Amino acid sequence: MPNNTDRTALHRAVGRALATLLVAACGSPPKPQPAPPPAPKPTIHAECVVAGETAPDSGTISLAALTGDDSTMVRRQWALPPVRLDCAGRPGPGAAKSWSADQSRRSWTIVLAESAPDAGEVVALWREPAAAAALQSAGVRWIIPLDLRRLVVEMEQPSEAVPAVLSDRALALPADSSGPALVLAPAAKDPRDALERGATLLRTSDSDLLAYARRKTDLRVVALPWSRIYSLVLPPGATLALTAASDSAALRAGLAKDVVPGESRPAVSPFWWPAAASCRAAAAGPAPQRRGPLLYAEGDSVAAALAGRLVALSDESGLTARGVPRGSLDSLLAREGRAAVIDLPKRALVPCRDLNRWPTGSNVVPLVETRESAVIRRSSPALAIEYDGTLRPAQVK
Amino acid sequence: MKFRTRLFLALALAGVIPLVLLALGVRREVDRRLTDEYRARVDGAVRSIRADLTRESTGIQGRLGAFAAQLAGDDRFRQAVVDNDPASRRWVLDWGRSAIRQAGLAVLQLQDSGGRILSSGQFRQEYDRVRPELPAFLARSGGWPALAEARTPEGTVLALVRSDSFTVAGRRFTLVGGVAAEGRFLGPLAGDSGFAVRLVRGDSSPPATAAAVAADLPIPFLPLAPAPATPARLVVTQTGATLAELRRGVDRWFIAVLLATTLATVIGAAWLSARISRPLTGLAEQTAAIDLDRLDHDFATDRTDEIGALSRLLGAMVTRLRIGASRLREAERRVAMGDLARQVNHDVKNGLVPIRNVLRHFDEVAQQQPDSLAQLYSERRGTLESSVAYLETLARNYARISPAPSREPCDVNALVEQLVRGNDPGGRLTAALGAGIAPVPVDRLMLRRVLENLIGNGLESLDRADGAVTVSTEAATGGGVRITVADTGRGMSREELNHAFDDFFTTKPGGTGLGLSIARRLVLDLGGTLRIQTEPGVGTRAVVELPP
Repeated sequence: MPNNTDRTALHRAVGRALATLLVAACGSPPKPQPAPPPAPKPTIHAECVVAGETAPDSGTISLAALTGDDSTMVRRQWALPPVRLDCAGRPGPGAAKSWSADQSRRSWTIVLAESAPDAGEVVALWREPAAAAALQSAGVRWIIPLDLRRLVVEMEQPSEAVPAVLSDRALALPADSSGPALVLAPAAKDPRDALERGATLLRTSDSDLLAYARRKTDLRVVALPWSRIYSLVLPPGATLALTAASDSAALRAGLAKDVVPGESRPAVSPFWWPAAASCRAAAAGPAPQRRGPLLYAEGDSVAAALAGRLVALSDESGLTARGVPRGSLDSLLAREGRAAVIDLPKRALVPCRDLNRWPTGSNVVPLVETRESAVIRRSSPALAIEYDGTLRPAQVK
Repeated sequence: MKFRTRLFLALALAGVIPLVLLALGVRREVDRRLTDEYRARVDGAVRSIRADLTRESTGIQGRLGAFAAQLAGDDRFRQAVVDNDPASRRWVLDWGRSAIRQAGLAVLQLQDSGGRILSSGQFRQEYDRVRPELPAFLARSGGWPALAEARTPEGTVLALVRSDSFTVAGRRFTLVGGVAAEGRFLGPLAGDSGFAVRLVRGDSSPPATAAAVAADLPIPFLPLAPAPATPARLVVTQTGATLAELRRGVDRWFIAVLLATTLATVIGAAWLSARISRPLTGLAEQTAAIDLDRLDHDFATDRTDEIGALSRLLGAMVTRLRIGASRLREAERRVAMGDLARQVNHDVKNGLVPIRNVLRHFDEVAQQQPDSLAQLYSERRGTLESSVAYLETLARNYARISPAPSREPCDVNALVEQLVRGNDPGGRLTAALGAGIAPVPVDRLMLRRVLENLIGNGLESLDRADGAVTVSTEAATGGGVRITVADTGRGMSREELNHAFDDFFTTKPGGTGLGLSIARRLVLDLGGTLRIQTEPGVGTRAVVELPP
């Protein structure tokens, strides 16, 4: 078996070869441009770091996993996008330690961190379907490795800020971490049991559980960013007659106050999907108009509550709410034109991709925004909070 | 139609008809009992439904009363409805969902006096909707249980509902709660394919099906708004599928048992008819063979039943016939003796005519030519001798035809032994003498002639070098003796046997055809019987039975 040195050399060779192929496929490579002046080194703002009060910045962070997202978060610590967005959406170093744009603001030079793969390998990794789709949807024209640690991302449109697609999970790269590791705590039927057994971290929106944690002196509760927008999607032809206007502020306020379990607030503009409407090449034909239940994803208590309330407020006789597997929800929404309550990211890094969840011409009515809270043991190592509520150990090299 | 066929039909009908009647009666009884049991079961199910309605209604009312007391004393509820405290309002909104789980209800909603839903357990998000219909409907039902449809996020639920009310801060609140009707009343019988309980709305008749209505229970019913309240009935129907299945099972077994029993009866009737008719057939065959010349049939039997009695009667009849025949034969013999006397007279005269003529001639010659008497004697001597010979022959022949019986005690074994010794042509004739045989009163000469005839016939029938004739003796029942002359010769066919005792019937070249005829007459003259048992290719047994 090849050792690590051999593997690294192999990766670099493959990267160079793929880069050559990519350049050949895209025509003549651009002439190397002089390196722009380096941008100020991005840093993670302190407000987005939950520092440990008593413990050193080492050891492990045991996460009491309540949902599949928690398990995903544990895996995500080993894969960093080039640019991380902190809790306020500000870019910070991820797999890339710095970036800069040329004068056109369309060509972005990314300097990879030492722990990241070589530029050639990165180009190869980004040819995987998910990453390639994200890059294509984000308007990336081509990517060229300049050397082992630098690559150039050419965008179709200029942008003042570093392209958001570079923070998308689809572009995450393997990362090494010498700091504290995020691990899963032993499973417990009651989350309070997990905390009692020493779990360091827990994410939840359960108000009773949060109230319990606030009463514990060794725990603290940190609100995570507003990350999800629950919306009513009405495909073309679908209607929902309510006793109140579905986009009225009073309705949103009532939903946030009385309906949604956990912390929520009325959805507030601006929303990302109106601006992304131009992604649609052309209006698709009218979707089939089918009467049926108002759909939501099984296991999503917020969506279920919202759908139930909309049904309760509906004057349509016989209207019901039905939970369907999350995997088939988008299919029912896009192909069969069924109305649904879905959760959308508060911030879409690749809007043109996320826009494809519903048919063209659909009426997307934002209802409420939600966020979770993190219950963190005071002795925990420092944790960084990202824009979508993801928590990572703060010391990532 | 043969007697055996009639007997078979009679036995079969005698067995099958009662069996069929019995089976039909049993089936009707089983069917009646099954039907009764099934009806009792239906009645029990209906009673169970009525009892469930009452019990559940009472239980619901008790739970609603407890909830009313709880809410009336709860500060959070009071703060929510009096002070409009947001946190308490949220508690009230969630109260229904937690309470419905704790109480095991399917419907639970808290409404104010205006019908506004404050909290709903089955549809948490229906709060603030104004639904005054259900409390008003229950108020009108006068405390009786009622059925109502309530809304849920997924549709509707049909529930048996009751209501209760309480007052807080001068405001009246109503609790409506109930249990799912499908699960408790319509469901339990669903597992039985023979029963169905359905809610029939309005005054319409139950859907036309093959099922029979077992019970019709009126119950107030409120469909989902905006439909108005309507009378409804819980209709219990039973399709009878279970009963029909039971009947089919009984019928299958009934037919199988009936067929098997009928088959057994028919086989038994056939066997019994054959068993009964066989001895009768035998008797008929034996009786058919009786004639005056053949009265030696044996009707002896060990049976003690009517067949045995009939056989013995036939035997006695044959014995009487035999005696009569003997007497007849004696009379015939006497007649024959007269004829014979005349024949003898005629024959003797015929024999004496030449002698008389010769003697007359001698007289004439002696008177006229005495010297030629010697010559004449010499000439007519042949005539005299032939006439004498004729007379001797005639005498011998007559003596053979009509011996004179003389009944004296005769040692049969000694006679047989003597005959075997004197007639054995070279080891082919043997004797098997029985012990303890008493002398029988017979004419020894006649018996000798009989046995000589039989032994001669036996020896002449031998057509194989290893053939043999055995003369055996044994004591017969009643003190007589049975003499059997058995040969291993060619035997006789049925046709030959039928003519065996006829005069002048013979199968032997040069035979007179009188041997068996004479022997049979002699045996009959001795008061005995002669039977012939023969089989072609196997041999012949001549059985002589002599009375004591």
